[in-house]
Amino acid sequence: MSEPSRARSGATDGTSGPPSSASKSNAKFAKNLSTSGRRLQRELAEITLDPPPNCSAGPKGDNLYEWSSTILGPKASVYEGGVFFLDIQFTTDYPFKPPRVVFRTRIYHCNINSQGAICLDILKDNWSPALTISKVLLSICSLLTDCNPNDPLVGSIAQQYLTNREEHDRIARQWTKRYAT
Amino acid sequence: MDDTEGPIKWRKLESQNIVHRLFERETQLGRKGLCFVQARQFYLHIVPNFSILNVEKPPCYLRKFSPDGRFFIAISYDQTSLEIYDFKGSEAAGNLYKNIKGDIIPGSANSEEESTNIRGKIFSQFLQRRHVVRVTAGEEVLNRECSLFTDDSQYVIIGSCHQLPEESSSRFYDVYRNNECITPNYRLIPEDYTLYIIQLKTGMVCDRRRFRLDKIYLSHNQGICLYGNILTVLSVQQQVIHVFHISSQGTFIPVRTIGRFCYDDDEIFYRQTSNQPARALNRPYTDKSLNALKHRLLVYLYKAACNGHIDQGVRSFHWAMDDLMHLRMGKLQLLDEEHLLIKYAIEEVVTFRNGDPCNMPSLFVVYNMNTTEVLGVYEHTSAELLELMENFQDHFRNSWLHLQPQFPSSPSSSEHARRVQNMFKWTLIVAKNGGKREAISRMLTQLPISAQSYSCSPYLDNNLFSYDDKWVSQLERPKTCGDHPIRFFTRNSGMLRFKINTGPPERQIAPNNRRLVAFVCHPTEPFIISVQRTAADYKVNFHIRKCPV
Repeated sequence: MSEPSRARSGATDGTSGPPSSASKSNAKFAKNLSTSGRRLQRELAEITLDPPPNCSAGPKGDNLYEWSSTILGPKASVYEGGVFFLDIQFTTDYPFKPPRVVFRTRIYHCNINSQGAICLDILKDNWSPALTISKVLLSICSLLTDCNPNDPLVGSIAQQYLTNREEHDRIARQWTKRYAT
Repeated sequence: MDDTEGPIKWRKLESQNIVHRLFERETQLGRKGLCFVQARQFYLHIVPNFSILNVEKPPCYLRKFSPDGRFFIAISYDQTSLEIYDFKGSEAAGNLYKNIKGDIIPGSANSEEESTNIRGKIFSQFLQRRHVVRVTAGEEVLNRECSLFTDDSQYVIIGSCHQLPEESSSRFYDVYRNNECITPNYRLIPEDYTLYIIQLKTGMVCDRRRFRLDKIYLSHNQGICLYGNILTVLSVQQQVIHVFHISSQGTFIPVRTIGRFCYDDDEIFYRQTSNQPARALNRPYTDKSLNALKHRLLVYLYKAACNGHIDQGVRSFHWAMDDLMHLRMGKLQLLDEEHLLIKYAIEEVVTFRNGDPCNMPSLFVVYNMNTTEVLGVYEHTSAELLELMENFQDHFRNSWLHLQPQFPSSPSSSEHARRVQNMFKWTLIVAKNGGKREAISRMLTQLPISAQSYSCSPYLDNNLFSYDDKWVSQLERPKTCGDHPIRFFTRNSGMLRFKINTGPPERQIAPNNRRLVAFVCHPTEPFIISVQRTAADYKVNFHIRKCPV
């Protein structure tokens, strides 16, 4: 507890701050920390009280900057019945920089690659500080319902989606059954 | 004296005479449905009442009788060969000792010369060597405490381990084959393991299966489990469960490997349908996605949290996510042909880096291999699981499936065994630093129960005999050696029936050097071997039946 502001922002729910870069304690960093910390606590309260449909999220252990999240495969989509786990990492620059969201469950989707990376505009260039993690999760849900084959991360799946939709759906359903239950 | 008066009542005893019992069997119709129980009562009269201490034996480590009692196996001193003996019956050496007085050799009643003579000859009279099977080439060492018999007593499975020379540098991706791998430490160095299946009758090595750079706990069959024809091997290093089918020809047929994937064709399907560069596929260690078995567990817990079975619901699920990710498989057992009971614990416990496994959190998971479903998850302090264990212990032990009818004499089937267990539980509750929670977690450390670790000898049946389970018990593990003979009382009369003498007390022994004794019981006959091991000594005693003159 070398930095007073860190102690203050952490004391409310016992956060221990972000793990790595916490060593240099300059004023700007401390300010960022309290801004992002307060914002994350508000979002946590929000998502706990009023979670978006089929989604949930919360910090992993005591670190407020590392969250895990769960998305249930949307009804009537090829991912129905699956439970998908995601990791969310925030930086101290949040909400001015987007969080890093990664799938931990294998998913057959043209915008999500085998390492779990998601190709979604709001997580990259179109990020806005007005967006919250609830909204991000909702956008991922809608990405599961309607994928975007015109801007794919996995070209072959997008190709298959456009040319042989039936086969794509069959394989995606199999993946959901095998790897996401 | 009138037996209704006075403070002490006379108890009516059944006749303890075997002739009476034989007459009774001949002349009376037994009570319906009790014929097996009544037949078993004869063990009360035919008991191993004669001890021969320090028997001369060939240079080998004695291991076990086959379930049908016909064969006996031992591991040679250099631990490269399996020795198979024929058991000639418990009366085979009757001529040798019929004129000996007393109930022990060497005893005061008989001469030195005579007892030396008997001790020298007795082993080969009872156990006749049938085969010496050279299993390994010398570098690999057979585990002395690892053997699994198939139910039909045709085959035995044994395991060996090859310590790799320290300078041999293993390739990184050979040790870390997926993203749940355990980090080797000085206590847990990857080794090469081999399982062998050997036909007892012919002494032929029918099949072998190699596990390279791995960690499998072979001692006391902790890491391998056999139920019917299904064999599971838990690789602690790679965190996968290998499932084999033992064919009738005695070969290992791989069924599936559970861990990174669950269904047997999952991996092929994944390779075919995922569009990855070939190199990345060969490096599952860098895989970001969750291990499939762990995923099943997480989904189960998530659904339980959603349905309100976990305090504070989903929030606490996310809170515990990191801890759940760090859980590793430490031990498992088969509950039947398709259900596994897996114990998950943190890595320090699984690799024995942390001393006290009792107090560390762990999870018991019931998993169906065929449907790949997690059916239940219990904490290490779960009262529900303890209740299940107490009431259905035979389903956890499932030792000696071949034996029908079974006389398991476990806490769930014998009131005497249950009383012993309740007393044990009570001691844990009232003990210093004890309590209900501690008692439960302590009792549950028994699970999962290693395959074939319980003896079915009638002399250890709690319904027939009562004995102090501090010195000998059905669980085949070494016990501390008492200074006095172990006394066995018949259950129906409370009379002393026979004693097992494991040798005279040794006074000069250092107090930190505990004497341990292990018992090897014949499954059906009055023949018990006790093996005593001190630091360097390896003494073998025979406990056999001698007709009273």
